Amino acid sequence: MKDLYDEKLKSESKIFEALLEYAGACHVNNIINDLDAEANGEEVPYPEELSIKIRKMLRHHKRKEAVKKFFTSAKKVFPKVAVFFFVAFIGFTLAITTVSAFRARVFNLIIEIKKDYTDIKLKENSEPNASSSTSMVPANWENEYYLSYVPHGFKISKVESQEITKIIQYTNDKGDFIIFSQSSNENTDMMVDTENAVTQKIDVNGYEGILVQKNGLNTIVWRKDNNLFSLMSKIDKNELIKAANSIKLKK
Amino acid sequence: MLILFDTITDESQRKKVEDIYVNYSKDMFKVAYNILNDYQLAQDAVQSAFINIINYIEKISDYDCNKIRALVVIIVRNISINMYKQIKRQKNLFIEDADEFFHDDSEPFDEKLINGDIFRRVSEKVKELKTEYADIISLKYYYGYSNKDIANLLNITQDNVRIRLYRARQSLKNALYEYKGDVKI
Repeated sequence: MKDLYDEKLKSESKIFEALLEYAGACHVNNIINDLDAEANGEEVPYPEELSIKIRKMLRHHKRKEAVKKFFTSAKKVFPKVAVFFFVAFIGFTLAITTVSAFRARVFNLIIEIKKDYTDIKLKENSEPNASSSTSMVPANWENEYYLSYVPHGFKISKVESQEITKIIQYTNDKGDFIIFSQSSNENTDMMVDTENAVTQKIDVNGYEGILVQKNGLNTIVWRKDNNLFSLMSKIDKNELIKAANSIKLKK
Repeated sequence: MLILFDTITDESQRKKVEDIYVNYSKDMFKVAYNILNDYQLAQDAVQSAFINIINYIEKISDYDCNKIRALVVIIVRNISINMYKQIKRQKNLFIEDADEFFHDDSEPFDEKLINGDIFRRVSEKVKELKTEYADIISLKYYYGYSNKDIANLLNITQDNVRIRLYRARQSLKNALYEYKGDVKI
């Protein structure tokens, strides 16, 4: 009997709550009717400053929500992006260390044009090469390069042979000179003064080189195989390019 | 895509807040001013109401126009009444309502009261209830807000919500009993 009585109480409670809900709906309806009735009555002037304050509040809320959403989305996306970059980095590192062809492409000739000088770096490369013909070759010149063409009137006037660098200087009767240097070390750097100079990339026997013109002095620098070459002279640049293209290896 | 979808969802809610401001801010200000009789205080009440509306916009955005209109009025009215009472208390001018004689809430709701006439009686008696009581009955049982939500919307404590709900229920019961002519001692 007590259970039945408790059940009855629960049901009555539910009925009362339903009545309360109905009361709430009636009250809401009354509010709307009262507002509509008052709409025809006396107007209370709406202050403009309140409008400004609320618009400012809405803008602030909009910004706050946008920032919150951005960080929420970034939190979701960031781990995936991080994983992607990590995998890419590992893959790149593995490729560099294990695949020589890939490494060669990456470690190729790097030419940096900086503000007041051009730094030409010779980095890792490997290619065999050979050809020969004899002209204007210094004595005891073995396994070194020489110019097979120099403009008419030029002769060897000086030869310097150091451990890594070999230099041949050509001069004519007028005192003009051509300085040809070669360095056979894979980590050789050469500094060329390019401040206020005219520079252009050129092709020397299929290799990329750079021509620098400053104050009448022409300088060509290029690499071939493991060697770094340079030609410096005040002669016409086209003649100098022709000389550069004529280098051969004396075996 | 998810980011874009989230943005669209927020965009519609932001638009809802702006719609509320455009359509109902004048009603809200009028209600607040009628209670507080002070421009500055009425503005503060409306601003405070908007802050609470923004915080609950996710729940509010699903309502139809009239439901939103009544809700924002309830919110700003109760905030204004609270502000009014606070000011009067500070001036020692506010006298709390004397406790009404209430029936014990745990006693069962008289089933004899339940007949075909009940809805008409409820509809009539709710008009006679204190506005605060009618408002809180609407928020709790019609809008379905929790005590915590009601406390946040009206800037009152949850204890206050419980007390008001108790008094509101008792008040309506009382009114229905009086209508019927039954008084339980």
